[in-house]
Amino acid sequence: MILEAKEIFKIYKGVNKDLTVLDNINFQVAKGETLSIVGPSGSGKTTLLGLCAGLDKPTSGLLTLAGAPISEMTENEKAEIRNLKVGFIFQNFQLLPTLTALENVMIPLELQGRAKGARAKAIELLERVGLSGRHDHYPSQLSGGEQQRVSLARAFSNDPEILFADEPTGNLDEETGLIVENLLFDLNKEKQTTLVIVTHDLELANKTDRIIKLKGGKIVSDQSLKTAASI
Amino acid sequence: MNWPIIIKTAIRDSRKDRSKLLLFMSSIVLGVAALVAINSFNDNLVSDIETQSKSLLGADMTVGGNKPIPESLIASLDSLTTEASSEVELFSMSYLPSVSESQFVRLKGLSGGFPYYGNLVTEPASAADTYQTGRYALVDDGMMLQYGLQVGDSIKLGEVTFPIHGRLMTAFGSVDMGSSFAPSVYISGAEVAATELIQPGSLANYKNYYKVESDTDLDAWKEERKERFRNESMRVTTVEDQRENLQEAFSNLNNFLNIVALISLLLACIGVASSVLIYVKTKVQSIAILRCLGMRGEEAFMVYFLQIFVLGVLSVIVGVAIGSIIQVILPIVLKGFLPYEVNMTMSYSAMIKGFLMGVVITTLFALGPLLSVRNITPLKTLRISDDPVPSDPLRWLIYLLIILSITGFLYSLTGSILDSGLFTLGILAAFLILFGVAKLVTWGVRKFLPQNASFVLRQGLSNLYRPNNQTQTLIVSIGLGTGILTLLFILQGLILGNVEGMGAGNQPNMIVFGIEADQKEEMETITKSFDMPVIQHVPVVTMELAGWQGRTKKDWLQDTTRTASRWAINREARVSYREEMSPDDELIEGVYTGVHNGGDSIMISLGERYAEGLDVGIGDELVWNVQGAVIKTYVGSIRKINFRKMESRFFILFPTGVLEDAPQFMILVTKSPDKQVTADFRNAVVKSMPSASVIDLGSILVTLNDIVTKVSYVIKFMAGFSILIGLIVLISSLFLSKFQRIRESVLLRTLGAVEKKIYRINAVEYAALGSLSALTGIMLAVVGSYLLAKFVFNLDFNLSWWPILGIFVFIVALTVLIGLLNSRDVVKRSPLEVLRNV
Repeated sequence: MILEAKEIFKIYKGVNKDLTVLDNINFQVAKGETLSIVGPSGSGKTTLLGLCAGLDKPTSGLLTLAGAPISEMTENEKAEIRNLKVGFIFQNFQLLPTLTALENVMIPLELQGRAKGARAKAIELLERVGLSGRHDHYPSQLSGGEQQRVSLARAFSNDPEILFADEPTGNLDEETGLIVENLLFDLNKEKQTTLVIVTHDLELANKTDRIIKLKGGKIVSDQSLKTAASI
Repeated sequence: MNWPIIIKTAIRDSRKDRSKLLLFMSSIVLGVAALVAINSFNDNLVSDIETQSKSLLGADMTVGGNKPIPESLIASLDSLTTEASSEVELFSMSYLPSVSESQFVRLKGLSGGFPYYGNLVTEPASAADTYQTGRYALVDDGMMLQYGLQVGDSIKLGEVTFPIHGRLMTAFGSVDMGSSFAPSVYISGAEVAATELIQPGSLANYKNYYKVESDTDLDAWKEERKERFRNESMRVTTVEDQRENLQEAFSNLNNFLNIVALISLLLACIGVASSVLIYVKTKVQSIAILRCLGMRGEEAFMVYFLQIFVLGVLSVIVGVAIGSIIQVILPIVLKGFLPYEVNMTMSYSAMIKGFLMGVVITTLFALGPLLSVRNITPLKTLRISDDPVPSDPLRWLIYLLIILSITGFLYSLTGSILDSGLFTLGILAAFLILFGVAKLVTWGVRKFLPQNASFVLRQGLSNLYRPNNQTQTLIVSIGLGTGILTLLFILQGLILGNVEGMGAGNQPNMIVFGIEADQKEEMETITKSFDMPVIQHVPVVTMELAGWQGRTKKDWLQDTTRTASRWAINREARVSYREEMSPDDELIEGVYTGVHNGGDSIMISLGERYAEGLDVGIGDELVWNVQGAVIKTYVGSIRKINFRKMESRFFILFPTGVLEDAPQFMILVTKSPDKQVTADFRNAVVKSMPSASVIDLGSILVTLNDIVTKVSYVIKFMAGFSILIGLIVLISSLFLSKFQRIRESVLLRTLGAVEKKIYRINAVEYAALGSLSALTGIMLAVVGSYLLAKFVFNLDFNLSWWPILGIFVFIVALTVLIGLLNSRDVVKRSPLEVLRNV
């Protein structure tokens, strides 16, 4: 298993009353699997993604990512795991505004100390996402779709074992969204990466192997589409 | 730590934002420049004191006092050297026949080859060598220019009229400000007696100048004979003493300037801290992404620390360079204070000191807000929020280091742990009060802002406590700048106001002294002929203390366990006698005896300070030598004397019936209605009584105003640094805060707010900030100036509110103006463009 969540709770302390955002979450994700987490606003999707990716700590429970118990690890240890094994795609792209497209893609590799081959790999990835002529452009000089494609290239640059995507097409129009979607799945297939997507878009969710539905912080269904399709 | 990526990221990340930090840099540049300029100037001043103190003294040693050097000491001095000159110095009226004017002057009668080092600079140059050969006078160049006098005109001093032989271009050896009160006139020592200006009771000083062989150890010679000279009330000054005196005189000036520079640097550092704080806030998202991609907290911190540190060091270097240039200007500003021309050379120690202090303080102030970078969570990539970044406990260590470095710097200036500690506490208190006010304001506005207030008012005032507000930074920086400015205005006003108050209303404003006893009637007639009142016309008898409490003065002086002060023992007593005590004096002990009946003991009245100086009380015996005659008296009463009025005040008052036949002169106190009458009266007195001197408050005021203006000019020049830095901090804070306001302004515009409305909202916010900080700064200045006036300067505390109101209006207007100019850019930008970049 590449990802395992056991009895995960996330509770925010309130002035009058505590708020339970995630309530006893349990699931496993196999290597190479593609998974969507869906649910209405406020159901705890993004919180769960943040916990799984090691961006936050659960109140209780155990999270294992690529064999490492990330819920127990220090921030610096988690940073290392993220750098070596995880890729991210965000709804609002989250490119570093002061870096060019090429530098944004290079940075995960540089953080690993692999500066030598970083440039060539970043150029190759940018070409792969159709941005070969835009290396030196800053995020503010790119359209939303282009920014998300840079983000895709960056996400795959460190050859992650698992990729987390938070509403990857949420800020894009249908046509651009589709282009990004296709690129995401194509790259994922090529690189044999595990993919976890948080989305409202059921069409996108249906393209993954499995859908977990959240409601009120609890898993209400965990459906494998692969099996369903094959039946 | 992955240093290559840290350095690379630091460079890449700063590319687009360097301009945002330009203002931050400029405040460091100015702060360090002030520090280096002042330190360099100090170094040059001190090194020049070393080389010039001999020529400032003009001799190897001087011996002087308020009486001629006694014969007993002359023998000891003669054995030391044969090269000696003597000088008699006194203050007197002079009359200028060519312009029919009179002027109070410092008259010096010189005999001998003085100066032995340096030159008496005159025009023509030969006048310095020949003025002692006959009845000639050298007259101060400034005075000659004032009255349009030429060489060859004449000047009447006492009974003698001297032709002016040359212009005196340097007032030799006059380091003290007293020289500005009266211009100098030099004549030959042999001519002094002929002027008949030296009368009993005249204020004359006698000084001998000596040149010795270079191998003579003067300080050892002086050490051996110090006691003997002191017992005769003679002061011995060697070149070494002169050097120490000069160093002491200038170390005060220099410490003051250094403290102003330190305040400027601290103000600059507030700018640094606030700029870095906002810079970090604008970088939160980038830091979160970097953390998300696997960068460690320490590495992210290092990325931004490197940026700030490198920019800081660059700014400090530029500051050091500018400071070295400014030091060339300082001697021009300080010209009136300096007894000699200071040669300006590069002071490497000042540059190194400025560099180190600049780097240390800037880094420490930047570290405070930078520490929070370590705590920025990668979760901020998923959820954008304005939640404050959690504070780092390490910040307390940083605060401690800041306090220690300030105290250390002050200690290097003052050499006193207590003084440096107290001053640090003062700075800390001012900062804390300003921070406290800022906190109170944000809390108060949030709590009490009426919900039914107008939209503009609500929006504007709410900005004071909303996330990313600049309330604390601006209140501290504007408040401190305003405080310094106001303190200077108040103190200048107080010093002048206290002196002006002396001649107000029916208070006397003119004193005539040196009137001979037989001229009493004539003097009163002259005064009345000008329709001026004779407010006081009292006799003065000079005498010396011969002994007290049954022992002679000599006995007491040799007694090492005595409690009486030397000044009180050796003072030449100027005594008056009268039946009734002055109504302004307050009797604090005993009974005032106004009339002495033959046969009774003579009961005298002493001033409180004098009685304390001698350590005597009611009933104690005092024996006086009245120009040869010995008189035994007893302390009958002790008075508290009011010195604030311009009347003659006496430490020692005799009853009538004792001193009437003793040699005496008179002092007349009167009030002149205007300047013209003052000038005419002065001329009339000098013509008929050449030995009398007229001192009028008007001329003292003009001179005092001159001195205060000079002092305040220097202070203002230095405070200018602080104010300029304050303004830059203000501009940079507002400039950076506008990025925080873009989202709000654009959203407001998107929702339909017109430009005018946004300007008005901003105007309300900046007016509130400006007025609150100015008000706090003014309050601090009022309290500070009250404490200074009460405990340091001993002045009456009467505030003139108009200039303070002016400062208040100026600061508020400036804040609003800069704020609005800054927001103009935001308001003019298209919402679409801004939204895309937010």
